[in-house]
Amino acid sequence: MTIHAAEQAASKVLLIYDSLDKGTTREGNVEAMQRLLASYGVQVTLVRSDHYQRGQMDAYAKVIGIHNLTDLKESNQDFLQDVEQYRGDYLHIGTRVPAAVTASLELRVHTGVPGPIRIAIDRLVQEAIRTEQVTIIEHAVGTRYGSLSPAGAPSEFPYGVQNGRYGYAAYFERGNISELAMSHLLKDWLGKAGEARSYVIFKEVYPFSDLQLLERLADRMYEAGIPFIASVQPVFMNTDYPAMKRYMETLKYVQSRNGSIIANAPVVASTVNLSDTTLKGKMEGFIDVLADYGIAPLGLGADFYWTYDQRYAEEGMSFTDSVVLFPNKTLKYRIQTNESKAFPFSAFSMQPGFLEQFGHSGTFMPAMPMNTALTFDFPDTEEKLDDIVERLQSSWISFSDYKHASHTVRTPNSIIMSRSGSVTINGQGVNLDVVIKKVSSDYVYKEKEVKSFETLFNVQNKIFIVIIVLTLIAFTGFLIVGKRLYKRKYYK
Amino acid sequence: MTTADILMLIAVICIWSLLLVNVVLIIAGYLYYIKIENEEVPEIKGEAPFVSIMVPAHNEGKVITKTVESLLALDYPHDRYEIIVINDNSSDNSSELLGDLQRKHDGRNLIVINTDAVTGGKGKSNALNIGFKQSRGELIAIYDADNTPEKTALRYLVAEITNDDTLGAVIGKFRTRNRNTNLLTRFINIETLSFQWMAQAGRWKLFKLCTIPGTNFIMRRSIVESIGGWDVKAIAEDTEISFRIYMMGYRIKFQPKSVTWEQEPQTVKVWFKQRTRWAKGNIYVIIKNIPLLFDRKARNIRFDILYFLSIYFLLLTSLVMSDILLILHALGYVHTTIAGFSSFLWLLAITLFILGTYITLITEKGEMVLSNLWIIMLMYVSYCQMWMVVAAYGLYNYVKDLLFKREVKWYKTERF
Repeated sequence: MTIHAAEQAASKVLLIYDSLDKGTTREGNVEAMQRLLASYGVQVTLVRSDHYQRGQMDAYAKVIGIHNLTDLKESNQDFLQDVEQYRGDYLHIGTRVPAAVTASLELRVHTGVPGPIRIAIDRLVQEAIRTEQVTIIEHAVGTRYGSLSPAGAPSEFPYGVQNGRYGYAAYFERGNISELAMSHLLKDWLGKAGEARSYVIFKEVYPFSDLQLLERLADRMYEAGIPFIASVQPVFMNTDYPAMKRYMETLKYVQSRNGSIIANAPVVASTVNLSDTTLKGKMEGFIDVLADYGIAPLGLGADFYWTYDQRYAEEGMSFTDSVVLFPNKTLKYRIQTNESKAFPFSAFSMQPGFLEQFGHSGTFMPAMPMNTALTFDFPDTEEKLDDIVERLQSSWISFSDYKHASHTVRTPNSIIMSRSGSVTINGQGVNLDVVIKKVSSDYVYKEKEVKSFETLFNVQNKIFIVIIVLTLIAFTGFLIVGKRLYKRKYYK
Repeated sequence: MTTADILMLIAVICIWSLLLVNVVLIIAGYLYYIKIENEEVPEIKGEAPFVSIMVPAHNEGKVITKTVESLLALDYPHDRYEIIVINDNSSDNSSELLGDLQRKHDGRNLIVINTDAVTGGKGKSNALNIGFKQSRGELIAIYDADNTPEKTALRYLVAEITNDDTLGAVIGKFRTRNRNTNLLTRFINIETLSFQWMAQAGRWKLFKLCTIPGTNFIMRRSIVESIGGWDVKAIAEDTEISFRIYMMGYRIKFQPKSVTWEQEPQTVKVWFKQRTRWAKGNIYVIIKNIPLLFDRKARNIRFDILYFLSIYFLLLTSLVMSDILLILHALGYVHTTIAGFSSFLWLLAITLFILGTYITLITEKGEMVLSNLWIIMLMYVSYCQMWMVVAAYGLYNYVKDLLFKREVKWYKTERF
């Protein structure tokens, strides 16, 4: 195995789950795991356990099993047997812990503990998490991660544990501190080293957004010393219109105020037309237009499911190595696949409310194990903007400058790169000393047709106007005279 | 430049030329109006000539009594005129009503000719020919069966013709009796007033030309005799007779002080039928007389022929064509690159139409009111467009008749 192939195998994970467990508090935990894995740059193959085929996990160096169901026994014997004999790294989440895991971790658990529960990880704590019955790790050997205990109970039990090839966490749900606790466990289990960073990102930035507000945002963030990312909606047509120029002038200004620009994935209008293969050209076109204007898009912001769609991944994301993946809103797949596209740089998008659920001790926020992006929708009023900036200023997170990491965006015409804070477009440093230029609205939107008989009509037009105006004057005179005659005749 | 462009250009030129012609006619009509206001109607020269008033009627029971009584009440010497009502193949009670009138006015010259499907029923021209055979007057006057002439109407017409030997006919003015009934009759009222102003007063002033309106006119017996009566094929017999009179070297004068009140259609359906008949009839006459354009003797009616020709053919086809081109252009079927007039000019033109039409109303009592301005504006977008449909339909019918050799028959105005 070459080093490269070994690296690749290490960053490939087979994720097996028994059920999405919809309608319970566990719904969404599979997707949460996928997002966490993506943020570690891991390529994931997702398989439901009843579709698992014998020997499938042998191709992977790492396997994660999520067992959400409490009442049903695993029916796929192939899977059960393979897990017990598996020689790679195995992380188990939930119920029905395989014997090999129990043995390796010397695990003793207590099941059926009622909620609510309390979880703490690295100076962060979330009290009274409402949940169904949980399993508590009463005893285990290996590295412990965080703590989990019934709310109000004096004793603490580990949230998760890892020992050698094996890892285990009994509880994992979406949207609470267990995502953070799991990310710590995952980082070690995946063997990911290096410091992760936190970013601020604004999405929902359109050409028709309030651009003055966007400037103001850039100014406020600059004054507050907080670097940020703007994930800007792409424009595929009419990129020579004044409106687009104004959009780009503002983006350029944002860039000069310590803002980084990434292209946002376009809104998927229809998934019907499979033969539409224009996405690649459109995205690259947009990147080129920005690059030509001196704006350096340094990645892509997209809903997470894009990485599980063959068409979007190939055509809409392949131009970059850096992404910020947002939680899914509406799934609109073209060609869905169970194998994700992994990116060397990927940030885990967090809603502002996510961190606010947690209490913390100490002044500074402990560093997150993975790259995170605190995600805001671009506000539509000044009040909302001011509120966001104030929240960020008083936040205990130290935000990093996106362009200090390595990012590359490549189209046939442009190469945009950032390395340690220096940004280049086709080898040229980007000019960050920008004053917004006023974009003239004088634009010929439609090429004027050569009109026939134009002179004839122009001349006639003038002649007719003179004739009609004269006639109207005469008519007015007639009307006055006529009125007098009328009065004389009928009002005698 | 495309074919569509050239067609469009021709259409635009036609539309604007006619607009200008009508402006000139309005001005001429105005001058005539000022002149005639200050003039007294002349007295009858010599002894009052004997006049035969002919009233063709087909199922006119509803209006005929009123019409005949108003004719009997004319201030013309009663022994110097006769009234001949041609009750043409009527299926209503017209003949009884007319019989009653005869008995009531025993001693007056009231002749009633009743025809049936065999002897009559072949249209207005045929009815007039029947009546003419029995008439004695040296002057022939014609009134439609739905008319209420003012007392002085006939006397003014006769006075004009006796004072000028060059006049072959004298026409009066007709007004709308039921003008306040509904919006349609208001439109018709404005239309008839402005039409008479432009087409009669204006043309008389400029070219000493008028067109017989079909009612309230008088003409010399000798003329009818020499042209051999009315052309039974022409359903617009008035225009036809006018051309004939001009060809004989006579003139037709407009005397607006001779007034008759006419009942006009009150529903769009009736209006449409009547106007289609007129349009078709006029088209017949124009086509028949096109050769006169090249006849030296007919040089004084060239304007008339050209005028009618442009209204019924050029204006109509221009409007229809420009509209069709516009629609096709909008739908993307044809491509026109033609330049156009400015919107300001179009606005001026519409203002001109409204003011011009309003001016033609100011001679009439009760018409110089602001509400008429609104009605004219409304007319511009409704009634005028309806006329276009009428003219197009008339043309279509004419062509159909020509192809299928259909017989001309009474398309009379229905009463209600």
